[in-house]
Amino acid sequence: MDAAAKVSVSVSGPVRASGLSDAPKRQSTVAPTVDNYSKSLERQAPEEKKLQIVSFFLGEREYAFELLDAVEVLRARTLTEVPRTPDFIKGILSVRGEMVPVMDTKMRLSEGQFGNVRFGRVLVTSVGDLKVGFLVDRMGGVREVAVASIEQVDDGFVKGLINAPGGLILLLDVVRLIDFA
Amino acid sequence: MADIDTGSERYREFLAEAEDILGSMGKGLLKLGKGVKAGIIDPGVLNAVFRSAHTLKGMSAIFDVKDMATLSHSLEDTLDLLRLGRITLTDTVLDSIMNAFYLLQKIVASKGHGDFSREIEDHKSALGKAAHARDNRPKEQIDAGIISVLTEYEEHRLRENLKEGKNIYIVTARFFMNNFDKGYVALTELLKTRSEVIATLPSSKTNNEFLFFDILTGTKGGKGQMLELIGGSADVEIKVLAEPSSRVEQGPALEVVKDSVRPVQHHRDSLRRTSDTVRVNIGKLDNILNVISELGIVKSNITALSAALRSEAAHSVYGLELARAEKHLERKLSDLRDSVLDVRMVQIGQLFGRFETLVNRISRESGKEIRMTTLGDDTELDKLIVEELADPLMHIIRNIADHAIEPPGVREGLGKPRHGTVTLSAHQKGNHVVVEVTDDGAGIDDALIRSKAVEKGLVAADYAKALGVQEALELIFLPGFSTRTTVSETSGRGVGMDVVRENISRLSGIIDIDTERGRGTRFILTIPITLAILQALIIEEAGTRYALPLNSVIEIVEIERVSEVLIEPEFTINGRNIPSVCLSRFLGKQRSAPDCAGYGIVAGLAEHRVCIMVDRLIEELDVVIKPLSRLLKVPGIAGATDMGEKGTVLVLDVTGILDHVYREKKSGAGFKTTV
Repeated sequence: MDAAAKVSVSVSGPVRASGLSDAPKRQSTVAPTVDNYSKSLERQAPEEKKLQIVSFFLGEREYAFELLDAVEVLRARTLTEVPRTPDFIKGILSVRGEMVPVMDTKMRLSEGQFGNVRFGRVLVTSVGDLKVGFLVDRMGGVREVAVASIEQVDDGFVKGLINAPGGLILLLDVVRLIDFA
Repeated sequence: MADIDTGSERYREFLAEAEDILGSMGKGLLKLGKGVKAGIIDPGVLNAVFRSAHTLKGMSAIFDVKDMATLSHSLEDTLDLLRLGRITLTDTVLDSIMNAFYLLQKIVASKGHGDFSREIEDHKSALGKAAHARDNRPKEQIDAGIISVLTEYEEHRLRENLKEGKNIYIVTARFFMNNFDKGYVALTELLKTRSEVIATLPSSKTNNEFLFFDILTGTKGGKGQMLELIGGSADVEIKVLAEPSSRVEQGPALEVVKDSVRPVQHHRDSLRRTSDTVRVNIGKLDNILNVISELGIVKSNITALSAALRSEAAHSVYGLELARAEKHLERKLSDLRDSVLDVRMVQIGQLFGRFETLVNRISRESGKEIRMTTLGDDTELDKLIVEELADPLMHIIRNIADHAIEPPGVREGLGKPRHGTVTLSAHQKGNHVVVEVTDDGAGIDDALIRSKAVEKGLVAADYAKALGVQEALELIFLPGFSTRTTVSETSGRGVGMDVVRENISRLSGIIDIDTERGRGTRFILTIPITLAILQALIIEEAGTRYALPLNSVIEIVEIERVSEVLIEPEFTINGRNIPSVCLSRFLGKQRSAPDCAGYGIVAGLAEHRVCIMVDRLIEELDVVIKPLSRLLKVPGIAGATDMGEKGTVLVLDVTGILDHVYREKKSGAGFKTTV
């Protein structure tokens, strides 16, 4: 998989899900409903399903979310603490007027906790219309991996292990991470 | 009904419009009702009601609401006969019209889902019967040449004017061809101030340059007065058609119906909508407000930038320029925000008007005599809030009618007038509107309230006994409280007053009750003018800033040091015991100093009050409140607000804090009774 080259991403700009890179090759005359869109995906790459991921670092360890879950990356400005919430909720961040809860990802994964929040980045994800930010030390990048190469695991918040050239990447399950209410 | 989607936007708009039309129709009918009693029927009002019925008929046919179309059609027929003078408006006729009107209201309320066909048949036959009571009075002799060109309605108005002893003049006016419309409107408006414009007839004198009109007017004044009114213009002359009263001029006699002459204005282009208003979904206005508040944040970034530029010697000129531009932007933004808020404002009179019909109906059904008066109808409130007020006011008025106003006989025995009076009043007080419902009934007996609340198992006996008078009165807001043993049509189901409490709390409003045995009761509702923008008091507690909605703040007191270890004290303010809470303790935060000192903010919601203790008061600000994420549900926190460079602060939720405090207090009281 030498095609899975690292794509650098501007950390201050938004990271947008762009769909599969070879999607426009065969044009369909069918209206692009959700249903026939996914069908057309299946037709195109039956032997080689790819997954785009966005990776980041907590300390020296590399983690990733599916690119579709990610919305944007922001500098961790001052967060506003909210009382009577779980410890791993560091506070809320106003993202263009919308209040987004920000999670201390290390604490959530029981990997310690963030010291000074100000030096990190906030990776904003969305599940439906629900947005949640994750504090990370630094961003990795957006890359494409073959679905077949992902080792499915069911271990708490980790849903897959990816053997990348640079080392092991832990693919996280956003839905489980934000399920604490 | 197959092709009309009753859930569609169009259909909802139709219902909303039908409601509006019924609202104005109701007002018109009330005026007619008063007119029947006084013996003066205002043709303008009759016409307006007729037009409402006509519009309703057309609309409901388009949307295929058959019940409504049939009923409004027969209503229209009857009203048409009335306005043409073929039948006389008597109490019976008015009753059948009123009943049809109530049924139309019911149909609209059912959103077109109910089946009213049987009721409609009854109403149709009642209206039909009324229509048979034709008026066969002899008609006065008028110039047949004139009569032949008048429509039936115009002829009727002409005869009515003569019957009232008015003088009939033909005002012949000429206008330049190219702008005759403006001139014509100006002249008729002028004439209408002193006379009724019966008909406008194009005159045969019309040539290429001028258009001539003969305007038939009826007035109590003489020819001289009319000339004076027109101002002796050469383009206008006045001819006498009939002068039944050669009495000397008596202009002021017109005063009696002065108020009601105005509505005649549309009778020529009667069925066209003349309204130039746009109906807007309030959600769209909310979106605009959101964008404005985001612009405010952008603006504060510019402020920071201009400050930075000014402090750099090389760029300070640009910094100053930028600062000036930014000030300008700020002013325009605030103008923009004010105009959007202004668009949301409606007069509370349109809400008050709805209760007149309710009070009339209740007094008819209950055999009590109740009159309603209103004050401050032109007070303006956010449209959403006006709608939210409708239910609470209705429940209060029904309760007054059922429980407070005594039967006429009893009232006479007490030396009160036979009829009870309910007064609805509104006035603005800062950023609030105070709505008061006052009655001159029996007042509320707090002893009765206490015993009923205990009897119904709503509170423990010891608890009820220990309450102060004001707190005891507030028991009426408990769910399930009702002092009536029989369930009546209008209230007494024990749902009334807790609906009031709930709706007013939702608006962050405050309820006060002021009652005097035998003299009456006053319910005082203090409601924020708008919910779109919140006026907030920024406070600091244990090093963190919070915003507290000013809507809920009643007063602020300085407090002495109170140790946190002790149970928080109750303050007695204006004879009321008010429980207090230390904000950081409530939020579960550690304080560096163990004692609360600084300020006590007395906040209220509906009937409850609480004193929130904080360290410092910072400032007052207008903020736009944003909800916290669905993931974070924190009691006592309503949301957060982005204040630009000042950062994001949490907005406190007085409801949450009150609930918590009162639950603690009540469980404490419950504990006492079991020991």
